[in-house]
Amino acid sequence: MTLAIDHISSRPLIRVDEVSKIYHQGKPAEVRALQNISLEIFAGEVVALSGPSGSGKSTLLSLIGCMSRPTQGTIYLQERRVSRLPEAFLARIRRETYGFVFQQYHLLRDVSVLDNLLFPLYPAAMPMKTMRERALVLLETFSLTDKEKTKVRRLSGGEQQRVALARALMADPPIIIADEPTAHLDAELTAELLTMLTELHAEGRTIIIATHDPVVHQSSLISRRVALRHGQLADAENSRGGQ
Amino acid sequence: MTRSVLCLSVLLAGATLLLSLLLPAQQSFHQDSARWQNKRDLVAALAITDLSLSSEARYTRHVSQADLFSAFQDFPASFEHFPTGSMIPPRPAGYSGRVLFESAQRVRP
Amino acid sequence: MILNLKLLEYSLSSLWRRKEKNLALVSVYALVIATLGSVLLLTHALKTEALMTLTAAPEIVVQRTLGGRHELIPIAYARTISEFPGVGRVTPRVWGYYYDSLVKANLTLIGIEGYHEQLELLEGRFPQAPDECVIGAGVADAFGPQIGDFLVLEDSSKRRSEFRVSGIFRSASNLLTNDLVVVQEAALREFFAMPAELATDLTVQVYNSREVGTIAKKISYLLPDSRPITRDELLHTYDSLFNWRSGMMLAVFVSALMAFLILAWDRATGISAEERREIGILKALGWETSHVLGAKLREALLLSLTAFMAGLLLAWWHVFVLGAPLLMPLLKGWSVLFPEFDLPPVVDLYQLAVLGCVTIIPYLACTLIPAWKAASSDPDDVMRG
Ligand SMILES: Nc1ncnc2c1ncn2[C@@H]1O[C@H](COP(=O)(O)OP(=O)(O)OP(=O)(O)O)[C@@H](O)[C@H]1O
Ligand SMILES: [Mg+2]
Repeated sequence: MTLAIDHISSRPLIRVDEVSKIYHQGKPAEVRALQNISLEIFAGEVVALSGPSGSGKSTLLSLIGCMSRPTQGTIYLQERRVSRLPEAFLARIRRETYGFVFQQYHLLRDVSVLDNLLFPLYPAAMPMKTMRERALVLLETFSLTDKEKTKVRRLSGGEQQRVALARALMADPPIIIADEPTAHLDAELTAELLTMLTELHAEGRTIIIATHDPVVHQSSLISRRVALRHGQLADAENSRGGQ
Repeated sequence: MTRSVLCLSVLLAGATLLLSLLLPAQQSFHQDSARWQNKRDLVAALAITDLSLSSEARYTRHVSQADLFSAFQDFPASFEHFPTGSMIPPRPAGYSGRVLFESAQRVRP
Repeated sequence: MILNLKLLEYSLSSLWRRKEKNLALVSVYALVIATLGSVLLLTHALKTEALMTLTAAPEIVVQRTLGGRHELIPIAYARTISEFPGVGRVTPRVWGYYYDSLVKANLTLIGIEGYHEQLELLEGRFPQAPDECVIGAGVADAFGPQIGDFLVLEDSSKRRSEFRVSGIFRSASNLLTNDLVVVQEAALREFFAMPAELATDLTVQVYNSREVGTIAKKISYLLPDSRPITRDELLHTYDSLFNWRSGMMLAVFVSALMAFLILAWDRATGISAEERREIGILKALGWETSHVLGAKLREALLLSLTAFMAGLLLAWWHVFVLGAPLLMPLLKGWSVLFPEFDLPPVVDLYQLAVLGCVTIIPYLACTLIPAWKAASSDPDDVMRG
């Protein structure tokens, strides 16, 4: 079910339609994390989501990445209403379409770097040997080859960030979602990451980044900037993309 | 892969060992007939009725034979052991006396 | 196929990652199985021994009751019974107990009459003179006599009787003969000071085993103060004494099972935050609920099967190789003459299968249900904890 990304299509790759996300609905602890968000993302775009802390960036990314379901509204992936699909289909979309870099990395801390990279590919019909070869190539790309056997808990923040990015690329996904990918990187590594993202974009991938790092925000790589404030789009103009 | 193959073969080896112990054991029951026959000859010769398992007290030595000192003499099959005796009812022996009440009128018409 | 192997691979590495905890779990699990398995193996072996050998016991034993208590039976009863059609020989038996206060052992004294053929399980020969006796291996061990030595018993009037040991039962027959002292009937009668017209009880030979019940009823009808005990009742006694649902080991069985369930419950409710997070991450990376459950099922199966097999092997070794030293105290009570068993290595696969079911299935359930709960919620929720 890998998406055949059609660059010249005029239809959006992802369409977020009037989506709201309310945590603990109906309880005293109710949180309206997102309200009536509409957003279109086209294939080949690099979208930067910005906004103050708590504005709902991570929540929106997790909705787009099929990690949770919207309370109201619909999310379309290539015109398919993914927010209503059964769980098994969502899992399949998560593993074949999206490469997700989490804000907190979500790596297994007691597992070696290499094994962490392998997890996304267990459900795929691919022998372990091929999986391992892929992982080694990615480790090479991210200059982590010497950490292959190291447990994640022993890595520095920047190294963990790179492992998380490498893991997102294991299944060769057409869409990459990165939540604050430069939070723990110094200027040099941030520049390196931007180069890497540029390469990934050049390979034809669509990239969605949430960030409040101005360096990323101002980068020429970004083709569109979307600002969130209190769970709403700050600038409705930018929600309608296009090249 | 080698690890799972290794693990499966260890499990399989264990299962084989276990079955090779258990399966013949289930059958040996009927085969070792000389062994059983010798013991039966002995039982027949001495008219043995019980295993000599618990010889600590006279009432535990012959479980199937009620005795002078037995608590439940009408039930040769009842266990005078705790907790078995309290939980497992004896099979009624069936040959002991029964209490019969007859109305005075019918006895003396 | 490839998916199956990969999930197995994952389960193995996951088990390995928590090896200390899992090793402890397997050990406890295996120990529980070994305990329960030992009880089952031992009782089944004893039961088999009883049922296979006591089929040669007398068809009917007739006792007499007086005032509801066991009494010596008049030998005249034997003549009455032997006139029933279908009844073969009726033999008065003389037997009783002898307590030795020095060794604190209780012996069973049996009188036999007439000529007996040489038995495979007897070393030496049956008593052929009033001052000869044959003893069980347990008696020989406790008192130390050899063939040719003398066994000295004091009767109720403190008179010493000496019996020359003419034979010792071989230890293979210990379960039947351990505490026996066999002497000639007349000698025993004199030792017990039992009147000549009385006997301890009567054994009745019945030609057709289907008539045993009828004859037993007839006996208690014609001789109202007698109580017949049929061989069926005797076998039934042993069947239920060692039946796995009963027996004094029931208590052990139940408590071990309870301990195990508590353990499993503890493990289940204590599915760690770490494990929950791991499940969430796997789901986020695109594992389906079924993949997660498949991996967890493999983990639980690997663990419980390993423990089950290890436990059974341990039980086998304990019971049939070592002779169940850890359970003996239970069977033994405080008796001094306790046979060293020659246990037949017989098993009841059905029992073991039940044992497997009652331990493996709760364990699987206890592991899978919380995993299933974690795996069927949104990965976002699970990861955030
Ligand atoms: N699982 C949850 N349960 C309850 N409230 C939540 C949950 N997840 C997020 N929220 C709330 O939703 C709001 C949006 O959170 P979100 O993580 O999307 O913010 P963010 O824009 O990513 O912030 P940051 O820049 O700090 O990462 C916050 O107020 C947060 O407290
Ligand atoms: Mg965030």
